[in-house]
Amino acid sequence: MGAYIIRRLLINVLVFFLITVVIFWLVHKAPGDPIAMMVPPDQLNAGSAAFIAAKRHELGLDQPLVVQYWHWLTGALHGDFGYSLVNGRSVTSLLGERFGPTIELMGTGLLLSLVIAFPLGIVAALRRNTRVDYAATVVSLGSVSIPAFFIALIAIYVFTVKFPILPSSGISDPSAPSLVDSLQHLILPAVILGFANSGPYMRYVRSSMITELGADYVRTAEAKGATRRRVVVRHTLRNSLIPVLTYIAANLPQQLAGAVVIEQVFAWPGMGQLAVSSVGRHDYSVIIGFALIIAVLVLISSLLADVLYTLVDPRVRLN
Amino acid sequence: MARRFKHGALGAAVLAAVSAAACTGPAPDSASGSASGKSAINVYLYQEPAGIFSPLAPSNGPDNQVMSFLDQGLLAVDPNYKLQPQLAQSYDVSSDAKTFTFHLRQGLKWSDGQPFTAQDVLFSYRLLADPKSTSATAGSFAAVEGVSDFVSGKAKTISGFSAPDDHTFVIKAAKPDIGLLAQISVAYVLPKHVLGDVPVAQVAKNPYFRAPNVTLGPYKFVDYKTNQYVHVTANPSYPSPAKIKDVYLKPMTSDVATAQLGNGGMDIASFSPADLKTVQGFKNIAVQEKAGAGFVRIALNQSKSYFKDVRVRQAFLYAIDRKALVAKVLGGKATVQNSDFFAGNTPAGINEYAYDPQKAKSLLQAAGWDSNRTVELQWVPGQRDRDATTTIVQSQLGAVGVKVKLKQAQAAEIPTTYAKKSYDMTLYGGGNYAVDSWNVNVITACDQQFPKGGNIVWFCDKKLDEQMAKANGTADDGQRKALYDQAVLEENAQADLMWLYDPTGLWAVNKRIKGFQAAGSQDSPFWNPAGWSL
Repeated sequence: MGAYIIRRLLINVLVFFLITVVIFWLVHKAPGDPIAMMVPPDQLNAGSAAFIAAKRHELGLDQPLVVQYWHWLTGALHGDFGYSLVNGRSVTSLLGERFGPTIELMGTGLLLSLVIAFPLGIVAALRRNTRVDYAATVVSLGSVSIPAFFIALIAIYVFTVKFPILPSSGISDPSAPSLVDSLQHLILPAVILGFANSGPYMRYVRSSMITELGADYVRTAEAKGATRRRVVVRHTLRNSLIPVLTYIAANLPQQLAGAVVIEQVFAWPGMGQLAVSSVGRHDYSVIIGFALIIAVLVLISSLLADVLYTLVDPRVRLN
Repeated sequence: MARRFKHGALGAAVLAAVSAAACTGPAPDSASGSASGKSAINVYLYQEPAGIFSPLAPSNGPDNQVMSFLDQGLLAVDPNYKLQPQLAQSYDVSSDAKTFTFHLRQGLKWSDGQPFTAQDVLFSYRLLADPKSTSATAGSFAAVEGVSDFVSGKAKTISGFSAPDDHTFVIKAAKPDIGLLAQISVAYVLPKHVLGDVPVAQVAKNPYFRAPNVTLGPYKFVDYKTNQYVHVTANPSYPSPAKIKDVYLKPMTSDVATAQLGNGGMDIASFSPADLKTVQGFKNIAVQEKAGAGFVRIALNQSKSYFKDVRVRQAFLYAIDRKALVAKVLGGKATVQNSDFFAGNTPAGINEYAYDPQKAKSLLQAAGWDSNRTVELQWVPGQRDRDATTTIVQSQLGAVGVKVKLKQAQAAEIPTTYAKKSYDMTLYGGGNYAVDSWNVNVITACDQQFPKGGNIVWFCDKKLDEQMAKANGTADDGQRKALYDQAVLEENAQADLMWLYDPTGLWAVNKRIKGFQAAGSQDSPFWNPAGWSL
């Protein structure tokens, strides 16, 4: 398996390189001029053209795209992913300081979604076509079909306006930061993110469990006198995890996309907020940095899904 | 498309949620991690600041708002759009309208205790006028005596700036130019003892501007947590220290800010007319209104032959029921604009272009408008009032026989259409030019046609240019006003722009705060934060 992982990583490096070419080209070819837009039309004057030209030169945007890409690539190989056009800060530091809050929100959200999805999915499968199953189906349908931002707004109304027990925005109270305060700020966004992602997971757990419960080995185990509980816990649960784990790993980029919306609503200082504002301002380097993080996440999560597969199912061999 | 829908739906949904909140009455207090009850307040920023708090950087609304707590200029614009002395105790204008002498306040100190002198002003103005510093406003200083020689390298220093003593600063204009006062005397002054030794080309990149910790204003910079808040604290060196110790300026969506007004999580916030009823429903909140700081207009590209005829431009104004538009789209919280000039500076008797589709039709017919022609109206979508206005304009122009195609554009795309002179019509917002009528010149003058200036419609009227120049060169207030009145009438008749409306500045203020004076727009700098108290 070691050789397989190394081979996959090498292929990923090549794919990543091609992605940088495509992203760099696409971002720079998007219509619009981020430098010219810095000066509002009715503040233009005799000096504006000189200012815009000087700014373009300073940022290297007056050079051919190939040259710009070469500079960017050589910088990137040394860990320097360029600088924001808007505030001149390095992309590494801009994305770096937002990475933590996004991981905090995404991670807690993922954990909560699994905490909701697994028990509900298992119970729904075991009590198929009963009221419990129908109730679980309604919950998962709600999670899939009601947009997360809508739930977020209702939650803001209920928990911050009607019954003001939780903060509605930000990551902490700047005038009185504490661990409890940080946790309070995390509750609403993380629970909503967790709920929004729990629906598909629950459906996966349920259908995977149902498939396994109908398998021959279950009948054999029960015929040999194993209790239902033992069969479920020792055999079907583990086997039904295989497709679920793959799905969760492959779904990580979508988790990030979900977090972007929640970050906007709750003014959570994560990468999503930065990405949205950078797209509006055509802040090339920051957009590229963000897109590359997503690309890395996709590449790693698909590799992770394959590796996890072999860990939970010894029958699978990677070649 | 999906994203746009999400944003629209988001706004509508928040509104529904918040409206429901208003119906049931606001929560008395907050558990939302607000600064309530302490000597600190939360102020809403409508956008994330760029984080460069520098007068050299291109003007950016939220950064300017932060700087209005920290920095000071010789003069400042008050909420009524009048120039008020700030670092200057007083100022004189010479009878030839060429020399401006500022008498600086004595005993002022920077927040690090160093004395403030005219040398700081001289240093700042030289830097701002010098394109080598990448000053975004260098062009505004071109009218100062000696700047062109300095920029071209003929002179080593700028003869138009001088500091005869520590408490006097003098600006000389190259020619009579009252408007210069409003254009440059409000620039923020920088500390020479901090930045004076930095090479000119490097100053703009100095770390000082990310954390400006030596300032003259009522507040000192503490820190900027990106995407969270800018924290400023009272500056003890300020002559009449601020009464509220800490202020947190927080960027967030307007919907969330509105919700937080009700629970005390936000103390001062601008809001849109659509949220007026909700905000009025909050018992802890007082609403302030202020005449708008800029008007929404449609530029008609007059480099295209079909917009050159003044009758076409007038017909477009007659075709739109702007009064109804203000009533329906903005809930009456705006005024109809009938000139480039600020309503308070216009004389009686200007043409109001009252809604008259029949007149519009006959003007178009007389001008030979081709009813098969389709013109494109571009705008940056995302603001409710502007989005609604474009569809109204499309339908009402359609009713008089002008086919309009709507085109949503990104903000970064628009300047390219100016450079290529390719657009037909652009809906956008700009200033109100209230402080000095000369400010209108940059969008109307023949010599200010893009890319030399802000005349992005390529309008040209030599008569208007002469009237404007004459007024701007007149020192006597009464005579100048009379000359500008003539210019307003000429500009109003020429319909250089399709003026729409000037949205009223709406601000919500927690009743525990006294002394706050609203500005005309969500992006206006804050006025006199030292005068606020709890």
